[in-house]
Amino acid sequence: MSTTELSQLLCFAHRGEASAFFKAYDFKASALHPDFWTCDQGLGLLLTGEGLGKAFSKLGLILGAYHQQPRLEIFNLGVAGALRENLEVGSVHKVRTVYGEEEFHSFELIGDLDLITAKKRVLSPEQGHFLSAFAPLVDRELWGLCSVAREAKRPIAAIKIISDRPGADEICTITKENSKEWSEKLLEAFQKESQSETPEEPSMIDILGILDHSAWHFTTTQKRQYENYLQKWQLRDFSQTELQNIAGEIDPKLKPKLRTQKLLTLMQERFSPLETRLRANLEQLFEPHQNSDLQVRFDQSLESQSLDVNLKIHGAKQFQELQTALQSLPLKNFWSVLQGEEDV
Amino acid sequence: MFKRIFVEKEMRDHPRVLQFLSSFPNIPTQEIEEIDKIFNRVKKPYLQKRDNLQAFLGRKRGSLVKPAPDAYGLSGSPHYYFIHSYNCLYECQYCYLQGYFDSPDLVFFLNHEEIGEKIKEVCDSHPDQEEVWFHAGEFSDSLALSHLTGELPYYFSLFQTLPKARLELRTKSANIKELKALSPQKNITVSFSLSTAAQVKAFDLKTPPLKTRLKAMRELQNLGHPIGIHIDPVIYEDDFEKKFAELFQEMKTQLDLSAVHYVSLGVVRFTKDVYHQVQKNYPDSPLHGADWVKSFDQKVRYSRPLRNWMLGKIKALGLAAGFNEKQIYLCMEEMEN
Repeated sequence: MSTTELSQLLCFAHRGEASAFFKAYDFKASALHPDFWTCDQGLGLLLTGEGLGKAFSKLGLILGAYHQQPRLEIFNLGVAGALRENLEVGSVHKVRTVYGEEEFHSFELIGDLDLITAKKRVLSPEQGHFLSAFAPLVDRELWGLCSVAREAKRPIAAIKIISDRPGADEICTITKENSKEWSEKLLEAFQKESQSETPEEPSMIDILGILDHSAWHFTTTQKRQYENYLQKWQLRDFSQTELQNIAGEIDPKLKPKLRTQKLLTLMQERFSPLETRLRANLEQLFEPHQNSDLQVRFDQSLESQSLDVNLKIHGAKQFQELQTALQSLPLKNFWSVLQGEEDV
Repeated sequence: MFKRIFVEKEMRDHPRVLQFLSSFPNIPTQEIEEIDKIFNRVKKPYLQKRDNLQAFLGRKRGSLVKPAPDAYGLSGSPHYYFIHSYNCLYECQYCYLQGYFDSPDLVFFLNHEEIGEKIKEVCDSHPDQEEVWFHAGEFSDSLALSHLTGELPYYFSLFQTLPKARLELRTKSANIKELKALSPQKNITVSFSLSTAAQVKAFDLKTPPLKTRLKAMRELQNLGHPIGIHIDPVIYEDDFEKKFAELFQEMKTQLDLSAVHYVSLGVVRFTKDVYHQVQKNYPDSPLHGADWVKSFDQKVRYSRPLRNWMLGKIKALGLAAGFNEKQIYLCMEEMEN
């Protein structure tokens, strides 16, 4: 089945909450599900029905059908109950943290108030009192929608309008009577939200301007490493001038590949001067003891106190020589280096 | 400070609860059955401690005094810790509490008399030991909110009756008002965590600056309170030796070093979970500029030579400043190196 291009999927529990949206946009029924509509502005509208189970299944179905869409943001819009006295009925809030009743996991959104999704309708003040210890708002779906969105790796936001308090009389009647006004408020908040620009993730700036320069050559791994090092450079508060000086000192006659490798080595040395010195000390320490029949390797992270020794045995006499060579390995000095001693 | 205070029903008329609440007449309070039914039941984002911090007042149940891990504190004596609080007001970027509890809310257990009975019992169970150590502040700061929780006079009275018991109060705070009103006791040591001035500023968010901590330490020392020092966690920085030499110089200027009970040294380390929390909560922290390795105990640490080098340098600087060998000990896992 072909699917229309969507950028935002609006999820409501009930039709009344969505009434202003049906008026504002030219939604057309979708063959995907009788409770799903799309419009030419790239919006989808889904009526999930009340409760976690319906939220899981219906959103799961739609996100499954639209899994190839590169960008699809989910908006939950609807009423929520106020669990604390200071919240005004009719006020609109973006949700910040979403908790689930008897669920450990929570979801962090961008907003100003926290919400807990209840497993059942909150009919008694006692139940409301208990849930109010977790969040000031309560609904029946949002935690489920967040779970599905997380699984599908889709961003989600929620705008709620406060409809009532737990235990209020004739809540359904009140909600029905006010649904037109509340839906209009939700529409207004949604449109305002859609117009506000999302700040883009800051990208790592190639402060030397060398990534695409012909005098340098980066493999994919080196590019990633260079970007990682640049990030570290900034976190460590090292200056740009220092980096320029380091790059400037690399022999311009070297081949681009070697220049890149040299730059990465020098940056690494700047991050960990002690380890660099110690590694060099260790290389020097074992160098005179190595030959084609005896190879000694130490852990490059310098964490392990073990050495890997590779031996080639050709004959009895050579074996005796190897034994002598093994006995002369500077093991004490090796362990001293691991103890942080520089002069060994 | 708090958005809401939760009080266990059972404790609502407890004098310490009433004292605590009297400091917050305008903060909404809510009665609950048990702290455990609310606290840690859902994952509350750590940084909500900045604008949505809640307090829980109640009674500690279960294990009140626990054996401390091996190599904890001065060696040779049994060490225990007791828990009368969870979490802390401060925001140290490396703090393990980020990954320990699933909520940043502060929990205060106010049944100190029950904890005290257990301390007596544990102390009596070591008839052959000269000293038995009890540490407060494993999951909180021992002084930061002591003016609100009001337990210090009780523990001072208790430890007066337990001459072989030793109490350590761990802190980064300079809130010594309560302590100043109490007579110093030889068996109660107030230990302060210190690092270089620049590191306090960069990593110990919301804590008093180094100078303020040192001033508080001097005041306590002048009053006769035993003090201890934790240089933990040690973090690498450029000009490492120079910065730590300055720290020891400051200590030397402000304190009588010979009277400092002990100086413990430990290099920064994280469990994997805590490290992920640090990345999430403080993505711009200079901590992420370091080269970390997975160490012998699976914790995230500096490389073995670097952490040994740092400990060696600091110990040498401490000795040069005037501390003696007996005062300085290496803490926790460092001893396994």
